[in-house]
Amino acid sequence: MYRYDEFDAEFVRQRVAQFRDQVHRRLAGELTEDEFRPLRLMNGVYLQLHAYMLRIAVPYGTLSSRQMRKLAHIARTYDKGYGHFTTRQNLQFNWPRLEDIPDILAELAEIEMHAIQTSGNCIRNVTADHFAGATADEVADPRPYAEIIRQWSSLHPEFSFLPRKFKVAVTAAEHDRAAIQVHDIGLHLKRIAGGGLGFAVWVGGGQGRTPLLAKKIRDDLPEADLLSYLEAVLRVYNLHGRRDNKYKARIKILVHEVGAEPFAAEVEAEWRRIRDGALKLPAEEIGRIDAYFAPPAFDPRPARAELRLPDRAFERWAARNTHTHKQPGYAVVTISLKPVGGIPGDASAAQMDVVADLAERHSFDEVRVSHEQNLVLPHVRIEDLHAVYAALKAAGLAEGNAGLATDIIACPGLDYCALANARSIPISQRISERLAPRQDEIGDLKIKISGCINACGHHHVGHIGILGVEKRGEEHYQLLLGGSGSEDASLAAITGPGFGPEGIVDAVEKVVDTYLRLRTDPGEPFLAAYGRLGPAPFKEALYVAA
Amino acid sequence: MSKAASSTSVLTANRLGDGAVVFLDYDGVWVEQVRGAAIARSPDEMRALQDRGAHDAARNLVVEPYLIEMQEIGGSFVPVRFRERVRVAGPSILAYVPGYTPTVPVVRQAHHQGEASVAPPELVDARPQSVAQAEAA
Ligand code: SF4
Repeated sequence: MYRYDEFDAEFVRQRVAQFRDQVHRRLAGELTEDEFRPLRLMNGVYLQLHAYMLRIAVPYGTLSSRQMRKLAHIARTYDKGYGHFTTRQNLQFNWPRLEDIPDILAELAEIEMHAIQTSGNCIRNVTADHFAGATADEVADPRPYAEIIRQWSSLHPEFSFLPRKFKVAVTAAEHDRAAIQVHDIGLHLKRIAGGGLGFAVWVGGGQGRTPLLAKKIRDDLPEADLLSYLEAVLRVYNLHGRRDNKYKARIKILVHEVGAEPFAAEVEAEWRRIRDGALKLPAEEIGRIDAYFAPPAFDPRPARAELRLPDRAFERWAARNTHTHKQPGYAVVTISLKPVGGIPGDASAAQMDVVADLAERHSFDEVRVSHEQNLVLPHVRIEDLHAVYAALKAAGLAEGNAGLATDIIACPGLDYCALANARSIPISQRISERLAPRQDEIGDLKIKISGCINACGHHHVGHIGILGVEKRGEEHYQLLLGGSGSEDASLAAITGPGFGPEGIVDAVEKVVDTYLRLRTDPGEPFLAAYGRLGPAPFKEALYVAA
Repeated sequence: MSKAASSTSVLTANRLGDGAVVFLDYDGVWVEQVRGAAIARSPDEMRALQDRGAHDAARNLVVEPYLIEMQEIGGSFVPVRFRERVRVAGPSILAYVPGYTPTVPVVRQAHHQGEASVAPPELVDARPQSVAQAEAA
């Protein structure tokens, strides 16, 4: 894992001291809310529907056991005993007192964490494939590049006041688990001509009010040129991105309005000017950062040929929640934060401690946060899987539902969020309860729920997406079908008139029933069936059939 | 009669220090329960509440004060918008939150003198059963 150097440590320490002073002045009445708001937002502090909220950056979703334990401690000491893992691989505390936040940030600084750039019109926390550095299907660990981008983008003087927020995601696998095509910049690390490592660069994707898929503007960017190319993209955006209308200020609108080719041409022109300057990444520097992410000391003993399967529940869990590791004898474990009928992404302090212990004992001290609001133990010996399962089960964390219909993404919605139109969490709970008995029969299905048009719950790329709206003061829900955030990215389409809070649960069930009835066989995935059938039979089930 | 003239409102804000949702009561005190909130029934009364909110925001007692429109249902007042019903009642899901530990509410921190008005009408908490259970747990 990356460790702060002296510069990082001093910078974060100074930032805590600054914010402590700012909070003090705010509480003493020396700063007005208008003066203080931008300062608190720069430090991840929002004012939500019921309380302040603190959003903590988890760089590329990687945590150590020590960090996880500290987050548990903060939940217990300063909040209400739990935290919420988000679709941006971050952690949010829902109830911190403003008075306590400087102390929380000081505690975070002790474990090399902070909340800087988790808000505002800057380059936000870089996200990455949550299986990075472990999965068998990647060309290399993409996190060193995410770390290089983090260092470059932290307090970048030119990009601290962009037209709008800016999100970068990185993957190194053909199967895209990082949803790179719905990010402002998506980077796909791969082998390029000549055999070296380089990037396909996707620009201008995003969800929200105007969902658009990114365009690939470069397929062979050498790794040494990563930062100069990103700088060129950001410069073109910073220059031409609209500042007159916040709904048109994201880079996706610029790329869409200008056209991908002219946009790319302008980036290339700027890049040619700066590519051999200070941002060139020497191989030694990449190597230096790479070393922080060196593979752990895996046990080279050959794995036992077969995994012992002591019980059916374990067998089911292992089949769903483990993924092929690049090291024989090891597995990547998904810890579901989606108990049936539970709250997607929430974990109690006690659960965080259990995960920290398991990571320490069984996963070389590493935990990941996934954008699907689950946790991951990236390096577990196959022989240890049952012990891990047993410990997770005792903590209420052994739901074997990764990728199934109950593994629902839901944003905080109206239960917490000041911007929300409708609640997301209770809808996800009711759908989870409704579909749980049949989830194995249904198979892979991604249901994603947002409480407003901002789309934090990724409803545009759900196989089944749900968007909460307000209709005459009450909650109402639009239903969308056919989205994907993977390498086959597509945007879901609205089915038709929306539904009330109860009706939306029935509607989702009707969609599922229609899929089960019409799929060619249990092996035909939902998206394939939807692509083959089109929306008509689903609309018929929703709106015509009694 | 215009909509504004016929509607009733209470003033809400977040308390500066801890962010808690508060309502202005008839004594000019910001309290955590909507039950005690001062209710405005006319444009003048609404303006008076808003002025008090702006005044208290300027004095750094509260943040982002605004009026919530209320309606009378079965002899009780509840917010018109669902959003505000959730704000008044708290998250509807706390019974499901793993490890949730309710805090002891601190009331009557921000205080004004006097200005008592007519007796408060009954305002309902409208808190879902699950929340009451969670807090009782
Ligand atoms: S999608 Fe809307 S309601 Fe949900 S968290 Fe984002 S801003 Fe809030």
